[in-house]
Amino acid sequence: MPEQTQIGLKTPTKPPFGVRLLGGVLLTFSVGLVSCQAMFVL
Amino acid sequence: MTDSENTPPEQRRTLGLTELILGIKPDRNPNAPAPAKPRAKGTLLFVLPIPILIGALIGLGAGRLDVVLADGGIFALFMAAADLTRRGLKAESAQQILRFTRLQRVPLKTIGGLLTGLATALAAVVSVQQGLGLGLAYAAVAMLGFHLLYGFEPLGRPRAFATNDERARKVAAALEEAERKLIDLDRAAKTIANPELKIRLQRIGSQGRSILNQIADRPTDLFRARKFLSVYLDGVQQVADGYARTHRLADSRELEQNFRNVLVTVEQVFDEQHQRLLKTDVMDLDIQIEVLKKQLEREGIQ
Repeated sequence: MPEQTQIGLKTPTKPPFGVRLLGGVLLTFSVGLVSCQAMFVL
Repeated sequence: MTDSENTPPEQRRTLGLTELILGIKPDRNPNAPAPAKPRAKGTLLFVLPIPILIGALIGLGAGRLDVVLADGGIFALFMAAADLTRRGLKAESAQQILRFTRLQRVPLKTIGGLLTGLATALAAVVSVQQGLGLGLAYAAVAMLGFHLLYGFEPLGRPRAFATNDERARKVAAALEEAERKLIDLDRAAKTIANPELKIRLQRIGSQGRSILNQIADRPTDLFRARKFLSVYLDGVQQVADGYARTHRLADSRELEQNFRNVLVTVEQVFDEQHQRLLKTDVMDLDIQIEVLKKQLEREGIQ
């Protein structure tokens, strides 16, 4: 029987949807809020 | 008729083995349509800072040059961050197409994330005139959100393989080197204007990838495919590079015909190599079945 060498490919992992949603909320909160405040500063 | 019905039986079996060991379906069909273009990502980073641009325009209307410069500069910083992030995400999805190589790249996403944090802090401190502490807090929340949504690139050069012994490391290194040559081949193909020659080169690249998949599937094939990796792959890469460099300077029919002849030969050699590897696979399985049959007969099971 031919000798087999195991090669395992590392597949890139994507964070779960909930984590990405939280990231989107945090980014929107910080950047969006500061941007809107900057718009109304005058 | 489905694709699997069109596939020769020996190829169908190996395809299954590849899926089993690597957990990924390989692209063996050179005529298969190109994968769909990845959709644009990172749009949120382009949209969220728009109010700052409006603020700059309001400042312009009010005759406040300081507001225009501050808001305009911060908006430009946000756009630079968004652009870098988008490029980073594109590079990342292109990277996922590569099977055996992880190229060292500029950490565009990480730079984009840091610039997003910096722009947020500047917007809070300079435009909104909040304190430095609050500005840093906004920047920290923005970078945390960025990390959760897009992720920062890992430090150092990630490895494509989880290699567990010396032999596997050797095979992984050979596959990585061969894939780098195929990447160079693809790059050369992109610079060639002649559509026929371009398609031929791309087909050779696809055949080469099939052979690499086959080797990853059964690493013992590396020793059978050594000539392919060291002679033909090197040769076609050098010839394609040379042609890509010279055909723009000297548009010679003879050169084009010679290059075409080389490509046709290489296509044949690559196809033969692939078929040979597949045949060996089938022969090995036949031997294994024969040995098992004899063993069962000896033990009186059959």
